[in-house]
Amino acid sequence: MLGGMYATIAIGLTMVMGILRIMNLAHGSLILIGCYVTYFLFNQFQIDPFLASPISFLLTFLIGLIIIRIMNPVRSRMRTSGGAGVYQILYFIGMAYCVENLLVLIMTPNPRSVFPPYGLNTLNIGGLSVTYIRLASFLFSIATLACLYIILTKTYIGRSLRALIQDEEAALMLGVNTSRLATIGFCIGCGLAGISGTLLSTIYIFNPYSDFGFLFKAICIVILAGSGRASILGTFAGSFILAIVENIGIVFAPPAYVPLLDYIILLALLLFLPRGIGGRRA
Amino acid sequence: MKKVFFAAAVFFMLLPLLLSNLPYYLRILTLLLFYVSLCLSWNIAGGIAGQPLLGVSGFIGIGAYITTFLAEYYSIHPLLGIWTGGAGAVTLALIISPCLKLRGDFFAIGSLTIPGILYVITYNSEYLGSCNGLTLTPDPLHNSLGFYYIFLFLAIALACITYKILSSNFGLRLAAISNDEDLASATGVNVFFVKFQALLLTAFFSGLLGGLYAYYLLSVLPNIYDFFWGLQIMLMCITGGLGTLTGPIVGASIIYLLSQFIATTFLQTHRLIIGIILIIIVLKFPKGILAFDWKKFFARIARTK
Repeated sequence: MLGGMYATIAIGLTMVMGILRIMNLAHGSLILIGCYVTYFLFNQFQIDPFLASPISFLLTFLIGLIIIRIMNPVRSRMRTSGGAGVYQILYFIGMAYCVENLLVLIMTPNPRSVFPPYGLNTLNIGGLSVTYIRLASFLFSIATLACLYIILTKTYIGRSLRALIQDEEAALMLGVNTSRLATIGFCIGCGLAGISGTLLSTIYIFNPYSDFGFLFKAICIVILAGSGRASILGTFAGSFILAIVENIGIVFAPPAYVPLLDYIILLALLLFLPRGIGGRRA
Repeated sequence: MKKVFFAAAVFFMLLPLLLSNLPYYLRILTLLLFYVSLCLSWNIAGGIAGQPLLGVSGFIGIGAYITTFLAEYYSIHPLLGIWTGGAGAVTLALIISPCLKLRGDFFAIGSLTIPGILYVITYNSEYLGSCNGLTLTPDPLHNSLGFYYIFLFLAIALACITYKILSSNFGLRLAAISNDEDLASATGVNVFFVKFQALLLTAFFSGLLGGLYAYYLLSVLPNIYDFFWGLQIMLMCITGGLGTLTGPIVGASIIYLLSQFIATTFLQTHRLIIGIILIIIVLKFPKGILAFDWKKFFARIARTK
């Protein structure tokens, strides 16, 4: 169940990474914005979390637009000049801290969660009981991924996006407006972060400091899926593996050390499996 | 250039004579020198070699914790303990060094996991004082003027080391890696090993400085592992100019004084303002404020008026 939701967290990051060729460290913050939008709409206007997801998609889409618009004039210079993308990393992490502090100011640092009235109703499937809300989140994320898959494979924008991810120069030569497309792709990636924030807000308790937690989960999946290849199926497999490993870990680890799991999984992946599950050794 | 440095060093050596009855300013200056040395040590791996080492707070933190831990339980004097702190940081660097084979952003993330892991462990360990941290008892060697000179000495030493590196073959190799890794490797630079050496140097000095920092403040808290520390150090280096000798020194001075001011006046928006400064610096002054063409800038402003 969790795997489906993890897939939505990661797919946005995968897309952004494919396009920018660098990790978007503000991705966790965008997910968090999605969470808070859902929380705000739910508490102020009693809007159901699932209906709120288009709104958080739009909002994070716009924030993504702002982020990339500020960055665009210097993007090419950032890519060429100076060591291993230090500048881009700094830019994104600066953004992440801005978002974090703004959220603390606006929403206060208290932990929040979205808890709709039907939150505890459960469904029994052959002895397994699942809350409706988890089931719905799962189905919703599957639907989102399916939409994305259709967009990426069937439409012109999607196909040119995939071309861009595979080889930017070749795409440029074949008449794709790469800079505009990169903007769109980045914004879609950010919007997906918003949707996944909405879905996560119904399950997790979040506060303005949980952005790095989300980010680390997303990065784990991206690495598992084989970094930067932007394949939906790979991301899906990776997120299921992460969800299973995490849940097994939660059973065995003492509760205070549970936050450690993500870090350790991430470090282990970076050390031993940096090319993902299907990847060859370099 | 050498004369300026020499003059600055002499100036800082004589400065405490003026400040002997102003302990607050002495403390600010001591911490300023601490940040200068920290930036100089980060600059080796982060600036000259161009590896985005975000998790430097892990190295500082483990140095601080090992030092206080040894002093608390085994009554080893902190000035001896800091060397083990440096060794501990080097051990951590050894653990994450395989990440150096990966692309820059993966290395950044890999280095971020270290402070994260250590934070959770210390926070949950009674033995390490959990959320209250560990405290040291002051001893006769602990005086503020002494610390001023220790940090000054370290800053000067690190500046000399940076100067040596920059003018050596090793520094050239690091700069080549920073500019283009593939090209550097094609011209026969052992990319991994050179980066590895730079990382070890940075880790050792960060651990050492962390230990000294804990001894200076006489306490250490788990929030020493905050990612924000690493970010601030990066900001300091990039403000002055990455991979240069003067950059970290000037940048650390400016940003440290600025963030002291911000932290006291805008308590709640501190991180927001630092974030905005970071974004502006990255976008507008990517080579640092020292390399920025101020003459041209002012000329343009004058023309528009």
